[in-house]
Amino acid sequence: MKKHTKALAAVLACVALAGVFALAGCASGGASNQSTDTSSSQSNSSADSQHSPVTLQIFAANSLSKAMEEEESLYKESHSWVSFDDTQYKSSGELNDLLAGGASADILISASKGKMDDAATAGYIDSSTRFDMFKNDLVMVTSESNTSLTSCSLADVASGKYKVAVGDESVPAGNYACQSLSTVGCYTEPDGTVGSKATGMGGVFSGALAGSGMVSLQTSVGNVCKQAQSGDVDIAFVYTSDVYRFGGVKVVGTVPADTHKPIIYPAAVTTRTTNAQESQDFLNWCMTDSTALQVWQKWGFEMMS
Amino acid sequence: MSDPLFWMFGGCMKRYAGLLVAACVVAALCLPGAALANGEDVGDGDVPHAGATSSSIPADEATNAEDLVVSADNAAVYIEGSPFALDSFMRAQVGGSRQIDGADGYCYYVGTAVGSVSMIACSGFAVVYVPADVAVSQGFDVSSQSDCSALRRALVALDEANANGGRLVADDANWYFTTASSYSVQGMEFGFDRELKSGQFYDTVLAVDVQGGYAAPSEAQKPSHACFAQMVPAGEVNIVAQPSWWESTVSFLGGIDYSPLWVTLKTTGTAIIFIFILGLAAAYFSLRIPPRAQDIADSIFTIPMVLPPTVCGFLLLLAFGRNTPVGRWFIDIGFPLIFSWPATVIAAVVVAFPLMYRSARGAFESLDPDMLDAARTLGWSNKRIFFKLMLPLAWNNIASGTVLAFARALGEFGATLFLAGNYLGVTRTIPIAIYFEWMNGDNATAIFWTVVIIIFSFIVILFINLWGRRTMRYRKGAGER
Repeated sequence: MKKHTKALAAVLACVALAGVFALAGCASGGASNQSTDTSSSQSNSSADSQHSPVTLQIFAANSLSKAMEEEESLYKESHSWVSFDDTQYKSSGELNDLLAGGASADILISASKGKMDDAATAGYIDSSTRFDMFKNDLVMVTSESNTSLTSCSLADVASGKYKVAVGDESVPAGNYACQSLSTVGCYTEPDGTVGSKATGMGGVFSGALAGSGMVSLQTSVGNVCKQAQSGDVDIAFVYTSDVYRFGGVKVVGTVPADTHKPIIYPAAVTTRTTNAQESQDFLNWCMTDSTALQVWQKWGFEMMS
Repeated sequence: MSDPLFWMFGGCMKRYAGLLVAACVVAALCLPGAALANGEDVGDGDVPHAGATSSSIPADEATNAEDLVVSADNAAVYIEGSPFALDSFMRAQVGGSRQIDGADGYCYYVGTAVGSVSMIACSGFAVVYVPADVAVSQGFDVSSQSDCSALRRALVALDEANANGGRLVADDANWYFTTASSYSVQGMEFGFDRELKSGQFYDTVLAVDVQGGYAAPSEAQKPSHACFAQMVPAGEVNIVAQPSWWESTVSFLGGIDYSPLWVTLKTTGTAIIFIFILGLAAAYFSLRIPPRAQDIADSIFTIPMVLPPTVCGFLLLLAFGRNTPVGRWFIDIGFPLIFSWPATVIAAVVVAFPLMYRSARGAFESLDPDMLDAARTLGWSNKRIFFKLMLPLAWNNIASGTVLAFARALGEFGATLFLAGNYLGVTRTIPIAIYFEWMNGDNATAIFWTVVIIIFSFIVILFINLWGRRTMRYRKGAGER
């Protein structure tokens, strides 16, 4: 009889504990990744310094990960009422898919005009707030410990000497890389266009890269860089800024800028936001504040003037 | 352009020492004039500009680190025997194009104040600017070979520490030092601390064509990067000591965000309760329905175990997301079942439930039906039979089923990522954290979480096995009596 009581007590305790966890989890989980809606109506800019707390959710291209973190902590120092939900650094295509699946965000920063156009067409962003934030360059990198490879060009890749990693179709860096590879016959567009007229999507790898195992497709530019860093591939196509934020890789060649579309990072405020003014303020701050500009420069992002 | 380069090579220094000394004397005499020079003046391209000297120190001496102490935060350096040191170091990996003096120049943003030491690294040479007033107040003599050499070594050390995979400047043979805010060399003109916008200062780089007009620097001429630092007295520099092994371990452990651990504990703890109850209920009731219906029910309950987890997550996302009325209702009432913490519990329950169900059902099926019938003849209700007879008898199998389900819920990755996303502190469980940290290059944190989850799983399974053994011992003991 006593044993049963003990067992029953144990089960009840577990249920109670689980219940407490569940309540705590629901309380934090339900509120924290939604922008606070009660405070937004009061958060207009006004002469007095009283601001209600605001939480911003940013969806940013994967390449911005370390730079944007530093910018956010800088912004919080001078704007103490603003906090940031866990900023999602994913490939621009994946960010659009998240928005399609029902996730909420205040700001969207893509790494290509095409992906931002997709977001605009689907109605996720407020096109009147859209502007271009950065420029970037595409480079070929290899692991820092790879001493046998010191320089590389598109022609070297076309000769089939190296295994390469590129982003998949949802990754703008992958699109740009495929556009450049199409100029040396390693990627074939469905309609046969090459270089900056190509889209870098919907085609197949050809020439020396057609063989199995020659190309590793990854879901974000950070993952592409990881392939090079860990030595799984010889060459990875990433942005210049990724070299600085990732570490462990070195540049062995620059992809000529005329072989792909210009690398531009558009930014916009989303349509589902409840903090439109605060989001716009943050974006303006990123483009004009002195310390913000120094941080972008430190991480290798060239501002659009 | 090979002749001026030939001049500057270290091996030729001895032959032209006398000429160099004379040039230094002239430079020293002209220094006050250069300091007062207007920043917009353009010096002659090939003649060493007044106030500038060139260092011909061979590259390997520049990396001699015996009397050079670099701060652990890579922002400051102290040079033994030198009256000045460098602090607040910053490396600008990229500049920007801007209309300067009518041409598309390249520029680096310095900040809102003047007074920084600047170094612009180009291919084959580097140009260092020390503001004239700073040079005077810190005792830096631009014509002194030793001062320039010390500054060069300091900048090289800090540049290497802050390179982060970018190009290093140490191998350049030619370093030019100037205190004038405008300097021309190698067919290019460098401007320092120029106020291109009100209150904002930039260092500018322009190419000078043969007629003396300005042009945009070509790709080969463009600088690779620029560095800025504050020159401070040696006694005032802020050098952070390199941490010891213990200190770096402590700071590493202190710097990790432990939220994945709490999210995992909450998620798995909540999920295992639901799994346990639902699994037992499903097993019990599936034995009381007609056989044909039993097979169908069994297949439905087992499907999540057979489907790949990402497919499960995708189906759940479709079911509970914006695409269905159910999903939309939950989102509208402010309790979304997607991209939130409840989503992690749902994902864990759905994928681990079949394991619990199958173990419990197998356990109940293997019970001796005569025993249950005997209890019924004694007048026991079904509820009493279940709790007092079936559960205790089948406890071993149910416990092992719980262990399996717990392990499955703990390690759930694909469905959680699809349905709940990767929000730090809310839905990032330990498996997701491991993947995320590894893919972002932070191997140390990934390994840390791996070790944590191994220890955690080991302890839980050991506990469940020991508890099961106690029950076995009791039953064996009862059997022997």
